[in-house]
Amino acid sequence: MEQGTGFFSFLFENLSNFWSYTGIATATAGHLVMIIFGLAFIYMAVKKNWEPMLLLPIGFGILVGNIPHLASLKIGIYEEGSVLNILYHGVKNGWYPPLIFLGIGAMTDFSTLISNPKLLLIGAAAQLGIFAAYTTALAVGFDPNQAGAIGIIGGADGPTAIFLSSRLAPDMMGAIAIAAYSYMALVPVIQPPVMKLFTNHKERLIRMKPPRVVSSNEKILFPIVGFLLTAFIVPSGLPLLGMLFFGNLLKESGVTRRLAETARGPIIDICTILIGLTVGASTQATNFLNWHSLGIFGLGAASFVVATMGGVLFVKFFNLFLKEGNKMNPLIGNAGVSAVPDSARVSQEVGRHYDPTNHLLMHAMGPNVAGVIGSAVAAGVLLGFLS
Amino acid sequence: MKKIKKGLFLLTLTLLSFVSYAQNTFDLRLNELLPNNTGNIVDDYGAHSSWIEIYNPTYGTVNIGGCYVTDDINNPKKYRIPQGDVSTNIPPHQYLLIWADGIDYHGPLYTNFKLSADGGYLALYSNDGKTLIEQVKYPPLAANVSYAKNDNEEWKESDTITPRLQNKLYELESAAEKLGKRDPFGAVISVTAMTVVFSVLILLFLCFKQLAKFHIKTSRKKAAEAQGIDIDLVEHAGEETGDIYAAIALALKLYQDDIHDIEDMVITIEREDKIYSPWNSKIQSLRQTPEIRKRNK
Repeated sequence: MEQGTGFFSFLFENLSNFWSYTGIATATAGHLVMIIFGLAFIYMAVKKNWEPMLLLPIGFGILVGNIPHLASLKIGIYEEGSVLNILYHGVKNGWYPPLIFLGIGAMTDFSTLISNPKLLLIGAAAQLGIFAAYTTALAVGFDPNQAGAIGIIGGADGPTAIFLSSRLAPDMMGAIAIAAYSYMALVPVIQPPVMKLFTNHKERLIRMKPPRVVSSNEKILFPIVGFLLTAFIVPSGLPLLGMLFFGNLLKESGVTRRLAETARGPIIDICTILIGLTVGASTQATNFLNWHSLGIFGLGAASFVVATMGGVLFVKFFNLFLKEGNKMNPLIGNAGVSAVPDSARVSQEVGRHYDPTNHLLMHAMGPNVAGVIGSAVAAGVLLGFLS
Repeated sequence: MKKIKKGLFLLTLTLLSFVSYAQNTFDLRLNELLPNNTGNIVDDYGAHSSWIEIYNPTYGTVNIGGCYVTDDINNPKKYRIPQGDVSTNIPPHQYLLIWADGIDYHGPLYTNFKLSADGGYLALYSNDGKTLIEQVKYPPLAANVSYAKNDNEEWKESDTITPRLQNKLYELESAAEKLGKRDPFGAVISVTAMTVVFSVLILLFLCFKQLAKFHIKTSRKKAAEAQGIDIDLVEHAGEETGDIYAAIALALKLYQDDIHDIEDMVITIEREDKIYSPWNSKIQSLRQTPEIRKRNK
């Protein structure tokens, strides 16, 4: 009888011990809030089709990162040596973003930009959002390096945001990455009202000259000249700019088809999966749910609005110096932020709303890819000043 | 003869190795020194002696044996590091500690002088005792504060002492903090950064504008050559005088005057209905429609 009692007490003790290890016993309200966030991301990706390639891994990563567990198990993303921690090194040390840039370079066609190089300037103007967010972040009390990391959200480029924040404010990287990718997904919601606000009906109907045919020599020269010019002026942007232009050279050279396909296929896919999952998992409730994160989200939204405004107004300003027939449609100004190709699609959709026969997509792709270069240069400048 | 040649070759190799050895010692660098050691590491005799750290920045092992260290500017040969001891080898990118305890019989890496905590001089001379490799004057240093080189090769006081390790000099203020003080509203950095971004992209714009012009010009030339058109005519297109334009305009006017927009007759178009019926359908015919062949005249 005593043996029986001992057995059951031992069993009960074991079960209660096991219960104390479970996530259910150690969960807090913060974890549940974050899990709801994760589910919302998955919902947006699956049902709304908003940036599913990013929001789905990030959403699931949030779920992974917010399953409560004991630190002694050494399985969490912040526990040295765990699987997630090893994968997270690629984010923390900035390995994934340049590899993603390699893939972006290998899948980007710079023809529109080469045929009409003045579109490059729109990509510069749209970086205004970065510095508007930087100054505002300083004004509300963030440190200069934190403000720089927050500002880069306005560049609308996830890998760049992760790269810069891992260097300047690693503790804020999760929130910054989530904000950057969320707003990139929300580009079709954020940008159209701003575009309509700063343009009139006549401007929205402007038809642009079709781009000229670009020779293969020009396409090959673009990444080489582009790299040398940008990297010599902003060497701190070398990891991003170097990989972007290298990827593009692989594509345009015509002799490295297999390498280009690997860069724009398996490499970018693997890095996107890893970056999405680990960034999501890094948003643990204890690190994420604070006033700083709220500030980052607010400033990120403002920076997108200012960046869109900057691009649109710059096109209007530039039109003052262009002859009739050469004028640009200000609706392509929003594409200066580097959310490729979503912001260019927004230009197309808004343009077609006012004139169904006016196709702006190809024209908008010019500032769109210029925005990628512009945001990488801006990140390099901030890194140079603040690191 | 062969033996002499072989001997000469070996001699040359030996001399070359000596020359390269001598050259390598010039790459050595004084890296850190701790004159007032009261709580840092102890020497082989358990004493908190002052020490000198030497760094080998090369990709090869360097033997420091035969070189001189001194704390007297007028006596470069004050302490000669003994040769032939394995402990005087410094592996690539590694550090060697020399104890300045004033007792040279303690070993090859123990000097006959002590470093003064009230500031002083330290120099490393090559094995000829004349060629200076590096020297440093150091200020008075508190106990357990070293004098070390930072990444920019500048000597700084450091309370993070790193014997046989890379120096870790923590700046009191980071670059971002300094910038934050000088530019609290971020206006200067914003204007600077936007100027840089615009400059880079304007440069790219100008570069590719010129490249596009060049490309268009060469492709026009090629096209003209292929069609057998005079290249000068293509290049000078658009440079014709007003007389030519006037003549073309007159010719066009005369031509258009001959074209009648309104005719003086009435044209009536009557609609002819052909109602479909399977009875007259060619598709429904049982036989193939005869083919009409024209006779050659």
